[in-house]
Amino acid sequence: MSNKPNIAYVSSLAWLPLAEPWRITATIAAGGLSGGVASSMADGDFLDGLCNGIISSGLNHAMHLVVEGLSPDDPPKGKASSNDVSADENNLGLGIGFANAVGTNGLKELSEIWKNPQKASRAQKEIIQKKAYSIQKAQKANGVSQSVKEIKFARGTQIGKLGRYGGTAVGASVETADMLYNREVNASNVAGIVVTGVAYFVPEVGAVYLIIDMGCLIFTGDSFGEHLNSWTGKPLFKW
Amino acid sequence: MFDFLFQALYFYFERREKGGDSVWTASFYVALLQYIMFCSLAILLDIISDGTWSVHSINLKRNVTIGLFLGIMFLFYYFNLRRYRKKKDTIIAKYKDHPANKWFRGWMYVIIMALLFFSPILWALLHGTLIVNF
Repeated sequence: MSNKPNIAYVSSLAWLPLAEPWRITATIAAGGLSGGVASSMADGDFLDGLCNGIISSGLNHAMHLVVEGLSPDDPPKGKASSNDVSADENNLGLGIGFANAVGTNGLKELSEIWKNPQKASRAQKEIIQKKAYSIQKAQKANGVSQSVKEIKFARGTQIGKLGRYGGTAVGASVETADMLYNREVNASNVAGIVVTGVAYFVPEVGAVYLIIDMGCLIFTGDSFGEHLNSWTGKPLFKW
Repeated sequence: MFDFLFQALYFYFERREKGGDSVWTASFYVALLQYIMFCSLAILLDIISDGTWSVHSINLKRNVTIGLFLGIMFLFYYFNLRRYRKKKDTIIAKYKDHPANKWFRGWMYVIIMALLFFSPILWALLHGTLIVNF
């Protein structure tokens, strides 16, 4: 595991599709710029140096692509490399983070808006009011009488619960499936379960975990869970 | 057993959650317990069969396995919610005067869940089949 930013991995994330092309562009541009500056310092033409720099750094990059592509260390197609396993672990952590953060926090906000529409925007208020009236109408048809205010509060509570249950269900099932699949309990599994459990009561914890996880992934190339696993060195239990 | 647990949890959350639909919460907790039981049995089966009957031996991809377990979890919840929304009143009436209501408390649920999950590991540890690396 390296401590420098692993831009190659980060660029493989769906939300950062341009990172790798940008890295290549920046490398070649830096090569060109240093060529131009070096040429100027030697009393030469800046543009000539720039062109030479761009050509040589571009060719250097192309050569690396060819040589690394033919490396005997490359895993055969279809077989997972250790990087793939690490990427799986990272995605797993991010998945749990997203489930907890979006499920609990996102729906908590929506739940609050339903319970207390004064906080909502005008458009949101209109939608909530329309929906509440339609629920009341359907309830009346079934012989149930409930005020619009009560309906809004009940719907808000249900939305909030849905978020909390969803986040917990995703966290619990992802971690247990991972343990059963690997036939071991890792430190990252324990952390995931603890975060899921705490996020049920304090939804903000899920969001904080996601931020830490993403921060670790972007700046170190490995998720927080991966760091925990590296720190313990071995699985906690293996069967 | 689950019906008793449902009504105990229902009353527990009914006291705590004012204005909320406690059937949803109680059903969720029963589903979570059933899911943990299911996972414990899977671990136990894996240990007893020495890996022959393990999730790994099904030869599914890791992400597919996780999706499968997620589906199982939601199925548990769906069927519990459906059942308890229909039969809530009958179950409450049935277990209203059950003697276990006198000593069962909400926090015991957490202990049961933890014991259920760790029991196969404890069992394996006692029988010396588990490799403890920590």
